[in-house]
Amino acid sequence: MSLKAQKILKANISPIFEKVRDKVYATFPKETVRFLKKEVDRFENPLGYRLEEGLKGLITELAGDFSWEKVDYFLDRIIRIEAVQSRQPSEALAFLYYLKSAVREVVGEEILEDLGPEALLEVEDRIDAMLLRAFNHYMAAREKLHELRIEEWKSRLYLLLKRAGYLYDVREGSLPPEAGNTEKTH
Amino acid sequence: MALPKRDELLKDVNYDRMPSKHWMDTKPEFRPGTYCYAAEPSVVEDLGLPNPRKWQPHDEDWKLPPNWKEIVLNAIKDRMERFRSFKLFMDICVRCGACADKCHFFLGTGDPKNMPVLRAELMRSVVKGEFTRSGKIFGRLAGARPLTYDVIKEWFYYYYQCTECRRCSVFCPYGIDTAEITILAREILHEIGVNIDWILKPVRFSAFVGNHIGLQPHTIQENIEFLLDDIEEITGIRPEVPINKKGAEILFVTPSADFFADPGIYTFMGYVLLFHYLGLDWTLSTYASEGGNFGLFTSHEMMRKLHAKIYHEAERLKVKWILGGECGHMWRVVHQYEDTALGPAPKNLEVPKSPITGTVFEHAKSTKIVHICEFTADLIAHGKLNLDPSRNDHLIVTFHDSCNTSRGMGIFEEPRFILRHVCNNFYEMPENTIREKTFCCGSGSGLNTDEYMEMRMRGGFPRANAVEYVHEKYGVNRMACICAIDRAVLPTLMKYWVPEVSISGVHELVGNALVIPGEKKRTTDLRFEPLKGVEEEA
Ligand code: SF4
Ligand code: SF4
Repeated sequence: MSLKAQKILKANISPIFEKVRDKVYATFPKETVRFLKKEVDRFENPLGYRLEEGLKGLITELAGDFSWEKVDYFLDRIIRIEAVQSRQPSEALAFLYYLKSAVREVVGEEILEDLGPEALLEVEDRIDAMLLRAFNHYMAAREKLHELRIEEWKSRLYLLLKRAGYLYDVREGSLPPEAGNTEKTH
Repeated sequence: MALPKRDELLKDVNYDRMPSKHWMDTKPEFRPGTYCYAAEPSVVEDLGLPNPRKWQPHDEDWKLPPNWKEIVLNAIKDRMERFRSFKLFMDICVRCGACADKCHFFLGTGDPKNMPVLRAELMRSVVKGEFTRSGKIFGRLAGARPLTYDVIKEWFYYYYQCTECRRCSVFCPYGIDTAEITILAREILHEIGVNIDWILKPVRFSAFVGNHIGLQPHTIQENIEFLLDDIEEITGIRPEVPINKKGAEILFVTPSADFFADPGIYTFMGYVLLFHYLGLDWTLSTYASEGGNFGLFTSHEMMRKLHAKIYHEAERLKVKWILGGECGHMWRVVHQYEDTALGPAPKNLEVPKSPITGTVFEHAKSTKIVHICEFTADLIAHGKLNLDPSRNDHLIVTFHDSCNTSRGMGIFEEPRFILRHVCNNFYEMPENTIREKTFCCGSGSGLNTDEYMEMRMRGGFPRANAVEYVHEKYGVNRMACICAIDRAVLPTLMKYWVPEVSISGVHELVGNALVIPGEKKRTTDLRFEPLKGVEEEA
């Protein structure tokens, strides 16, 4: 489902991306930003690579056909990183707030003038919807983190628990295989 | 129409922008998930270490001894005299920045103090500020600062955000090894009772009982019997596992997690099947039942104390040589310190010689300890093993070089050679993330505790990122490794970042592939997971 402002957005993917990237990077220390922006191998700069890939992906979806499947994919990849950066939830999800600012700053006036307020509201509503959806990803990542703390203890003492008959999980057949796979439920 | 500027609003919604202060003016914030708990006083006391007391890193007052500053300065002086490397590292860095972006903690956290150059600078600046004239006079201009209470807190925070993995040293033109600086920084902090529970408890259990969680001999035996039941069910064979057998030819030492933790136990099943196949004359010791040596993360003396048990047992049981299992830092200890600080080996030990192939392991002439991958690779090279790699066809495998076995001892080829013979699908991760450039699991050097989970997920991110790549490109669903900490922490790391990939030791895959005379037709692997093709047949 595309937006009325699609054409304007499409023509401005790069400037919007650069603006939002700079806003997100401003939340990192100066010395780090220099590195994050370096054009290096995706394996040697995984943080920069993933953040940029995700932001670019989201903007492209916004300007294009907007499939939730793809949007979720990119949201998840960014948020999994943000969720373990010891930031407040509001800080972790601020990148979407910045996306809205960036769109407004780069093409806001143009959309208003050419297509009227409705078209701009439509774009902003989309980003709001993403932000709402982002909570699911954030919660899922944090819950996963806590689940892993418990899981790891079980694995660490696996045989002792098993011998005592204390294991109630997929490995023991006490739960169906699907129950173990809480991945990608969001 | 002027649109409102939104970003100003953020000031009201709990949003901290990064401060742009000088690094000497920023203080660490002890947020849950980013630090490990302090050691319990009883543990510190049992080990005879200084300043046992109740405290936590998030406390304002760490209850340091009144003369803490004097103790620390003396400790630094002492280490500078004893360790030439340390003295050199405090001096020669030219700040070229080659190491700056090579640390997985920097790559995963974006915190500049996790750049190895800055991590070392945390100590170097104090050495300058306290011991040099120019540092005392010019202070910050000369990169110097005095030792303060806050510096101690900062050291604790960042020297426990280094896994002593040595990746940075590979890129340093001067060979500066920040891991060595971390090792000594932690040792120095121990002198004023600044320590973590997750390291000292295993040290205590290893010292008093023989392994990290204090398994008693009968528990070890019962666990092994349980595993033998499983082996029998899967293969129809029940191998013998000799325990504390005097006069055996070989003492086998492996991380204790292989006796009870998932997935270490499957690796253990692999060893046992291999030894049975060979008819090896071997034994386990319940007293030296730990390959791991958390003494390495405590002090040189503690490392020596824990390691001595292995040699004592080799002497008591009158074995000829020692075979070591798939462990990480055990091998760092053996390779780096055995010939110097920890030796000499007891007199009854002989130069290790494979009873099957006759190969003499010359490189272990003085330590008398051979790595199981060297042993097995030698068997395969001599055509001594009947292997059916198709039994691992349900797995698409990659290999993670553990920091300690790769950069700490240089074992790259043997595990790969074995994997290529025991499975048909093997794919390497990108070149700049393996072998000597491997990325750490993010939980090594005693940081594999659950309260530290968030930081571990960050530190392990560069590793996981490369795994994800081979998962997507080749369908990799299993990562093999030769380290018990890896086997403990990589499953967790994978479940967060790449849940489709599971973890195993190399010898688990050997155990799957080994065709043993007299065994029944196998339908599952050692985890009771169906072999490829079996489900369809059934
Ligand atoms: S040894 Fe490893 S963890 Fe420590 S600073 Fe170097 S790269 Fe980072
Ligand atoms: S690479 Fe070596 S010399 Fe260069 S900044 Fe790092 S530690 Fe210093």
